[in-house]
Amino acid sequence: MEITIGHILAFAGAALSVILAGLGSVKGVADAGAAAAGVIAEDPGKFGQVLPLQILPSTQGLYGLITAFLILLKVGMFEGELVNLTLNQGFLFLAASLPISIIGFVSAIYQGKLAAASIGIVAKRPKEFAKGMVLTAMVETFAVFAVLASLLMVLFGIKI
Amino acid sequence: MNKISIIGLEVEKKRLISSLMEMGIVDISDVEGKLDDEEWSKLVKSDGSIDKLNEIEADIRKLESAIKYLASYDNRKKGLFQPRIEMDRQKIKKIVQCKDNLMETVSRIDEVDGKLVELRSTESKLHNQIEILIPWSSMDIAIDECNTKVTSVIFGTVPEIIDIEVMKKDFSENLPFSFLEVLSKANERIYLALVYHNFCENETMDILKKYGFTKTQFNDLKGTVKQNIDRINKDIKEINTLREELGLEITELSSVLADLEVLCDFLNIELEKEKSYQNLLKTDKTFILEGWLPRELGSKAKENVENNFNCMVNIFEPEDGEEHPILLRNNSFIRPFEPITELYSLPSSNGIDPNALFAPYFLISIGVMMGDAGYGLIMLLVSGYFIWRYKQKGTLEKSLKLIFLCGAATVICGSLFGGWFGDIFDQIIGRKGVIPPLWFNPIEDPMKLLFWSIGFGMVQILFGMGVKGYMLIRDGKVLDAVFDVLFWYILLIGLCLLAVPTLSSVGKYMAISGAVLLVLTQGRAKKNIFSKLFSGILSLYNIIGILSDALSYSRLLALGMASGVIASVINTMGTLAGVDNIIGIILLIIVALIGHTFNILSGGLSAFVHGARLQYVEFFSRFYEDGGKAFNPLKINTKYIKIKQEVR
Repeated sequence: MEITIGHILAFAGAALSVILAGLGSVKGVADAGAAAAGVIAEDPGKFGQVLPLQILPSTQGLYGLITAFLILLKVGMFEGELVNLTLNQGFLFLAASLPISIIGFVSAIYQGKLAAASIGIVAKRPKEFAKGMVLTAMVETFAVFAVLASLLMVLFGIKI
Repeated sequence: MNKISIIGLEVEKKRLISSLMEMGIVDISDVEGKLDDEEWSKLVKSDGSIDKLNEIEADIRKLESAIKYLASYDNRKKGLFQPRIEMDRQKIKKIVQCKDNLMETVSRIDEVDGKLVELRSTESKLHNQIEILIPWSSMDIAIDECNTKVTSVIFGTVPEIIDIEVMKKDFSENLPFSFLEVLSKANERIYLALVYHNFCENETMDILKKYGFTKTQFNDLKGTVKQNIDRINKDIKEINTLREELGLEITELSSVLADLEVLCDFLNIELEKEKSYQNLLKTDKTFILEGWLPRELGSKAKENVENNFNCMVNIFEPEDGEEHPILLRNNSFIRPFEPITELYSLPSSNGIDPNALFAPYFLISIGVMMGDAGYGLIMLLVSGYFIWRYKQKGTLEKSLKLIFLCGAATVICGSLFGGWFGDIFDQIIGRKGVIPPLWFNPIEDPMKLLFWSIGFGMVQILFGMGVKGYMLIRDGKVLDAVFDVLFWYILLIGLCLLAVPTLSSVGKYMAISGAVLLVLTQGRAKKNIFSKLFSGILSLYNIIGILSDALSYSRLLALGMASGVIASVINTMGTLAGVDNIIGIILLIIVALIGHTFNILSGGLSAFVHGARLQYVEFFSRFYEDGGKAFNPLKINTKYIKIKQEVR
């Protein structure tokens, strides 16, 4: 079987969704983690409360991975041989990966900022921690929509 | 909630407060506000003493730090969620009587701890000294006696890269009256001792400078280096025995830990009482107390107090619109949902308890978002085990029961959608549909689930508006209910019917008439006819808000699919080595265990957060009036022990 530009574009789409969404999560989790470390320095007992807040921005990376996995599944990587792809089909895969790549990247960064701020809530009013978690999760709504769009496009938009 | 006011005798105050505390049903409110009234302020003054409060708080702080310190020496067996030890009053009284002794122990613990810290720092200092001396230990002359009348000895180091032979040669050629000895090599430096004639001091120094020589000072060291090291080692040994002794003492002292815990709980109870005195007003011989208590407990409380004390008890209904504390009361099925409402905010006095209203919607949401019967089974088993094994009370119990209910919902939804640990059985057996879904598989037909998710959202939103209508009718605003709820129902149901081909003409007329009615009525608060019309038309804009709220329920599909896809990714990775050989099976077990645990935890977290969000943003915004203050009765609150109730 011959490797076509279509394959390259599909793989680029899969790679992009992991890379960009992952980058956003890296930044978000790191920002939240830095704030969490400050709180733990004051009171190590709050570890259990700050941890869920810190990992909230990591879901975007996960969504990126799911999208990549579905693209790779669709092009037949796990069945031993890649299916034949046209140039246009390749572009479709690339386009389908864009929502979660871009929104995942941006939303994870902003969610990380909000998570850091919510960790501040834990420092001052530990009882209100769940409210901070809900506020932080609001940002994720858009990542959820983006991954929904990407998944639908990959699964049903592209006929092979 | 009813209001209670008690006027009693000062001499009985302590006993009365204690008995209220045991009943645990009265939320004492602050009546200090009455002091602003001139007539009141002539008669009464505020009660309670800040000094006493501070004293108790200081004792508690000391006790808590001692308890925390001793916890590491605690050899009592303790499991997770250890049930508290039950204890009767006599025993507690006995322990509290030795309060002075116990507090002495606490200060002794503090002292010993301080000493231990000091010893530790001295020890590390001594170790450092030894580190410094060891390279010099081959020097067998006493350091303070090695200078003679005409010669001096200088100690120091040069970097390792210096060739010592060259240096020696340099000295023997230029300064015949000198002797250079290499003592040792360590830490990238060479340790040297140099004997030189006092006459040639300057020349010696010049040569030394060339080799990057650093002088080492031994300050007041006496005797040989060996002797010094031995002396320091002896000191360290002494410190160690001292530390052991102190450690033994602490272990001995830690036997009072249980007593300290009892005392700490007792003082916390006293603190609560002392705090409640702050809320009272008093004259010379009497005091007045005001508070809230649940309506149906009123007569019992009144009887109880009046029989045992010389006092006047009044119970009366709150005034119209007066804010009172909120106590949620639900049956045991709905109670686990209360923490979700408490996270948001309690309903206001005029509001409505939403727990029973959102419970079924919340369960379905969680079930669809987890979407895997296997995961649901695990949630059921784990939470069921904890509920059965550790009989906890309070929020923890509610949370465990909530997980249990969500697990049950997840099992039902999961079997509807055919997810059992993703598609693990398909992967192992190698053909599709080993356990067929009872309804349909959302990964194969996501549009169907998307449609149902949004429809489900629409139902919940309409239900929320219905609750609003009920509240309006309850408050006697029937017309508002018709205008704000019924007309919206007509419009929205009409719009939904448009999507159904056979009913689309009915839907069209319903939608149009609903819209017209809304335009006519929504501006009714405005005076001017044009602004009436304008705000009527503008109100139709709310359709967008309602529809986007309904679309927000598409997250049910997205999260459910994400959880399903991750599960099948885990299974695919696990079966990469095949399932017909032993390595493949081991790989599958490891990957499945780690992967599915991770997926349950992360999926559970996001399912909970998004499930709660749907209730807060999409459902509560339709009707919920928040801002209530929690009912917080004066009651016995202990951390370490449980006080045995006396049988009366």
